[in-house]
Amino acid sequence: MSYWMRVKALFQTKQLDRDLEDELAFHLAMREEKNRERGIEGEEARYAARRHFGNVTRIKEACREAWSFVSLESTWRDLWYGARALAKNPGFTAVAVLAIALGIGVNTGIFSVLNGVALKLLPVPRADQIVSVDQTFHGKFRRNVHGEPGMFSYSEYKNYRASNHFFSGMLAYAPFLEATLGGESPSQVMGAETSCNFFDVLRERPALGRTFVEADCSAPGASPVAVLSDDLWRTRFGADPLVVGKSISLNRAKFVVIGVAAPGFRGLDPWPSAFWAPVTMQKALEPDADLLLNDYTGWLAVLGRMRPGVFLERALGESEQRLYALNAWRETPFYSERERAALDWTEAVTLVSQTHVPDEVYEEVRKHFSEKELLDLTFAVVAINSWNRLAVSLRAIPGTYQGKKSSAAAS
Amino acid sequence: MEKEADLLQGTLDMLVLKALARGAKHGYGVAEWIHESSNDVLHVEEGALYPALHRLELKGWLSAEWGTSANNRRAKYYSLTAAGRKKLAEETEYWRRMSRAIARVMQIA
Repeated sequence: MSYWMRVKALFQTKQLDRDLEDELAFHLAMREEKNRERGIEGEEARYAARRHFGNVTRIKEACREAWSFVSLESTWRDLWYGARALAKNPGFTAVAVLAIALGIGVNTGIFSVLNGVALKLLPVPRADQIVSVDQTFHGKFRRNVHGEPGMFSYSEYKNYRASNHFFSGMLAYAPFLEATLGGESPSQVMGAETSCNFFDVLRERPALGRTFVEADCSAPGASPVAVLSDDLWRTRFGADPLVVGKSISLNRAKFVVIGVAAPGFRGLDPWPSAFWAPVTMQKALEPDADLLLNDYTGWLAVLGRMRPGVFLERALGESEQRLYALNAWRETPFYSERERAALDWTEAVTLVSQTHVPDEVYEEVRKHFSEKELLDLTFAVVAINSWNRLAVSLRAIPGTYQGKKSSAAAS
Repeated sequence: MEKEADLLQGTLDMLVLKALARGAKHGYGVAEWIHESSNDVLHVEEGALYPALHRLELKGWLSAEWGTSANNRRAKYYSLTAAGRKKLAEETEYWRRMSRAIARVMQIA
């Protein structure tokens, strides 16, 4: 209570003083009047009142002190005493100052890094639509990890990209890519291998030349091209306007510069990227490991740009709609082209006696699935149908079978 | 020396609270009331009265309002708050116990 009153008083000192003045003046006036009533005359009445009252200045001071927070004098005295004590112990003071400075410095440093990595949005258009995608595995599925367990292999990334509904685009990139930029004075640079829709999903336009197109990622090693960062272009290439088409050497492999990114675009790593190369150039840049064909090592980080109107919550799980509408998959728009092809194939194979699995269905499904994938799919259809045939014939009660609880379902 | 001042201050606070129990008064009114009620024995030291009033106001036991006195002068009127009444009851109880105890001690011949 008193705290707030005193805070208010801080801003109203003039008013307070005037009030105090009035209050005491009133008392003195009343006393003076009383004295006159008693018969004391003239000036004596006033003097008597003052004497009776006491030292007005001291009383005013005492009242003011009650209202102040800390009397200024005592604060100053304490500070001065503290300073003297510190001066007497220079060693201790130095250590204390260093410790505090270190603490402040470390805190600031940590926060800056955290801010850059996790808290700030990416400096790209509509960054609020961009989410990072991780995967988790349930069950006893073993898998190599190259970095974070939640990262993706190239084939996994391609799968998810082809069959998702929530993202207008999904990009993949391999972070922490160090490369030696060859030339008269070779230097170490940090860059990233990225999927060819990297710049499109991020909606980053190049300042010079072009960025990647899907053809650049058509096959491993197909397109040894690179996009330079604005920074690298200025420092290493002297902002050469004719840099597009130039040949550069990264980790002793030859790359052709196809473009320069816009100034201010630094890639997705916590530190600025100097170059970007198609992910299909992975073996050229990292000759020790052939990761493109490795299905079991996670080495790509994935980001997706959500479709407008898609909320994060929906993206996190399969919608009820899709599950319930499965029976009407032909008439509903909930399933991707790939899924529809698979469903069509499944129906055709299941009803083989009627459909004889026509060529058109085969062509369609082969568009979305490789030979191996189609083989897997077909065997799955056949297996499920066999079990159903058995279960129905032998009148098994649905739900009584409790299989081994393991699945490699990546969610 | 400190203890004495405390005792005096505490007593003064109690007297001021009591003075305002029957209605709002300005500082001069409080001084006169105490003087009259004590049969002219107690003369409140006016030097201590005003800091006491301000302190009690800050503690939330009194609330203050500016008004006009009987003879048309601008004066600050104090009145007891609910918390102030509670404090007065506490102090009165404490005072009764103390004075009874002291009296008993002093009676011992």
